Amino acid sequence: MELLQAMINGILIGGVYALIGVGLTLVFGVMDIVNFAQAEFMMLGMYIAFFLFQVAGIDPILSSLIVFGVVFLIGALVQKGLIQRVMNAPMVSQIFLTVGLTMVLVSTTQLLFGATFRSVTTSYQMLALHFGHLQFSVPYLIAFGVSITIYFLLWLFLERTDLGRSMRATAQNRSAAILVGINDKKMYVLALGLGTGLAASAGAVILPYAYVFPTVGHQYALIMFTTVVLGGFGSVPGALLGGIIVGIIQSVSSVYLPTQLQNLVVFIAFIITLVYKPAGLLGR
Amino acid sequence: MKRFSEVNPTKCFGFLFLVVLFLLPVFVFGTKSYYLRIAVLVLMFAGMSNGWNLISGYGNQVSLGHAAFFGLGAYTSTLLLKYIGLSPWLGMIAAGLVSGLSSLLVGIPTFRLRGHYYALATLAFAEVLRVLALYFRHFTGGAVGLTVPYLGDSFWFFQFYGNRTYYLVGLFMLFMTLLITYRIDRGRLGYQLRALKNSHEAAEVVGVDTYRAKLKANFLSALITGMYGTFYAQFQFFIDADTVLGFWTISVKMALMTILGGMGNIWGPLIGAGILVPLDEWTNAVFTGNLAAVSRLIYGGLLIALILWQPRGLLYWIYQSVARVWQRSRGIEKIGGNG
Amino acid sequence: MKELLQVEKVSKRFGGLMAVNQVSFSVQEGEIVGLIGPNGAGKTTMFNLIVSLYKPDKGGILFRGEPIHTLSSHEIAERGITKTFQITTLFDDMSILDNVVVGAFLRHKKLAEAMAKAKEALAAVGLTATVTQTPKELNHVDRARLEIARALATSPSILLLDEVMAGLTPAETKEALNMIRQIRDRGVTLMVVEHNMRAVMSLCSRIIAFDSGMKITEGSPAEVSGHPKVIESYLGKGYEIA
Repeated sequence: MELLQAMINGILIGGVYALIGVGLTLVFGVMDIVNFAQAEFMMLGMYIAFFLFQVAGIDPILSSLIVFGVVFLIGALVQKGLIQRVMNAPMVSQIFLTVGLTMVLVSTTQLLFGATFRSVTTSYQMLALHFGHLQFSVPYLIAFGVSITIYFLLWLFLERTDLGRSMRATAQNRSAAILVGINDKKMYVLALGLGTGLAASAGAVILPYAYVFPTVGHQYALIMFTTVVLGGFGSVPGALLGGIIVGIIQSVSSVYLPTQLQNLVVFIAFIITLVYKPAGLLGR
Repeated sequence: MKRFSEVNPTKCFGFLFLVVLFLLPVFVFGTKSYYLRIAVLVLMFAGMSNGWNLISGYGNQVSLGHAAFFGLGAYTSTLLLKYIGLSPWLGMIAAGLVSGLSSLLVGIPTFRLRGHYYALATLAFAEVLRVLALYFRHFTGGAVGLTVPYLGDSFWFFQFYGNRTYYLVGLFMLFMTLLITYRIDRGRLGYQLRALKNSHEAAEVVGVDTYRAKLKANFLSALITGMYGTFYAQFQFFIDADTVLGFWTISVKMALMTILGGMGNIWGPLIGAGILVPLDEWTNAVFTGNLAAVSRLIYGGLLIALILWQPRGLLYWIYQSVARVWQRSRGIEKIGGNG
Repeated sequence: MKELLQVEKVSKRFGGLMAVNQVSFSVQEGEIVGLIGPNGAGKTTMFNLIVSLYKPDKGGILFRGEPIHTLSSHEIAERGITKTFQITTLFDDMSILDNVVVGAFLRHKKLAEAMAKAKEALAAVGLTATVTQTPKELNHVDRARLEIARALATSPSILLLDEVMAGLTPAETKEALNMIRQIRDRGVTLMVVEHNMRAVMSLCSRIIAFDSGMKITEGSPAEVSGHPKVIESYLGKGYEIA
């Protein structure tokens, strides 16, 4: 029974992990770059949602839309100003540019907001639905629900809109896409904006049950990378599958192992995936 | 890049000059001197960064988790010292081997894949080790850390009063590290690594076992880094998981120093360390408490600036500038000659 | 004469395209075998299959009787088969000499020996450019020479040359033919892909003709050049030699 509860919690959390990871996988798919600062954009989203709540009383779930928009713009600027310059540079440069970005983001927020842990108190924070012996924490449920909705919207965008299709085309074959008239630079801006915006909205969505502080991104980094590797770099549905699996692994292992060792199991899953199926479950 | 392969009297003179230069601090500074302490740290980071350079610069496989090897080394020798009284010199060998073998754990699954995977695997590896070290605090002291038992000024136990002897040891280790790196660079492995950096396919077709070459470079890199972990433990008399297995404290620093000085080049890390270690000390002293984040902001900005404007590092920039000046003076001579 | 290389019913597909379709042929020691066919016929793919840059979907490749299609490229180079790239793929960040040294390191573990071997290989291809220059400074012909030198440095038993005579003047072509013959005289078995028909006819003892991934015929230069299907593949149906 505890196991089942853990699995359910895992799925619920996994939905959020998927949302954080899908941005990473999208950026990789379209731009062939791993954005090591991805988790920091989630942190940014959390802070923005936090302040919107403090100042204007907007519930973080609702503000996730605004958060998405704001961070989308930030991401777009980062792409135009920084990442575009290393699009054709060696991998080393690309990796360390985003690492440097991580440092700048973390230290700036620390200077602006201090290192204290912040959290919000919403009316539904402590609520839970009960089905027999099983408990469904309301914040978890809502986070999951919103994540899945956003995921679905993303899917619609990629499959049904011209812009989305152009982006997928760029991901599949950069040169061919350019040849048919797709502006690749524009696609990259769109991709990074989307990628970072999605992570940020994930941050807003988990605020009801998580603390925000400058280095919160660090904790989610391993989870996020495992999600993407498991699902397959570049695969949007893969990130969903990966996220849920990682969520379940993490949650179930906490039943048998102390909390601190949860990440160990995730890491082992990560290594196993690399050894046996490096392209991931749904990878290209 | 320039190759230091000319054999001539100038080289010998240059070598002697360097020897004198490097030995200077020992005589100029008092053994308890703060500056000498910084110098020791410079030597240490220079050596470590050279280790990182082996796989990330020469091998073109960027590691974001070399702290894993550093920390493993530090804990190995310290725990051996603590529990069985093993001399840290022997402990250092054990540390190197443990780190070297652990490198296979990340290398074997990832070296057949694209570079991102290795970067992520090392990142994850260091993080997991850090978490494990924090968890098994009975063994490792957890967040509180481990103190190296003080056994007095003893060569056998690799503990010295003051900084002078540490400086000499550090100098020797750096010299050996540079020698090893140089020999690799000028040998079969170095050629193979350079070749596969240019074209994986072409290298394979002419017989280079690219997978093996990377594993070798990674092993040596981890070995060297692990041994420096021991040096650190014996110098600081204290290790803790968040520092020796830390992403920011060790992994990023090693990378930043190498990038600053120049990757894929044996002098780059030394120059980078020479600049960043003192800078780091200074910023830590100036920006304390709430302003502690300023130093990280500076380094983040520095890293971004480097990547955008001088990705090949200072050494290359110096080389270019000198070459340009030299060419210009040549040009002027020519015009004058025709006049 | 020994059957050095045997290609047995090898097929390779890329998505919807059957690049190589059930191709079989063999190469004897000491031969110079020509591989001809229009662009896209599968010649380079065939070479890539032999050196394991691609793995066959079906069929097998044997070297001295042992299957090699499951081995990796460097293992195949170790056994004695290597190739040059159609689009020269040199190590641009390394000097000309160092490029060849990489190849030499396959059989010679020490730098001094490898360098000596490399210099030998450079001499064999007639590359006289300053060896400390980088490949970027070489012209197209010398780049091709460098690729060959690098391959030769691995002391191969079989060398696959992929369009090394592309863009050569008649004089240069003659030189190249001599060089290739000298390589053969040193004990290397060769397969060459070329579009220059006259060169191929004069150089090769046997020719294999490809079209659309299939072997359409093989035989002596005279037999192949007169073969109607070969003419058709290059010139289209209905063409008659006057």
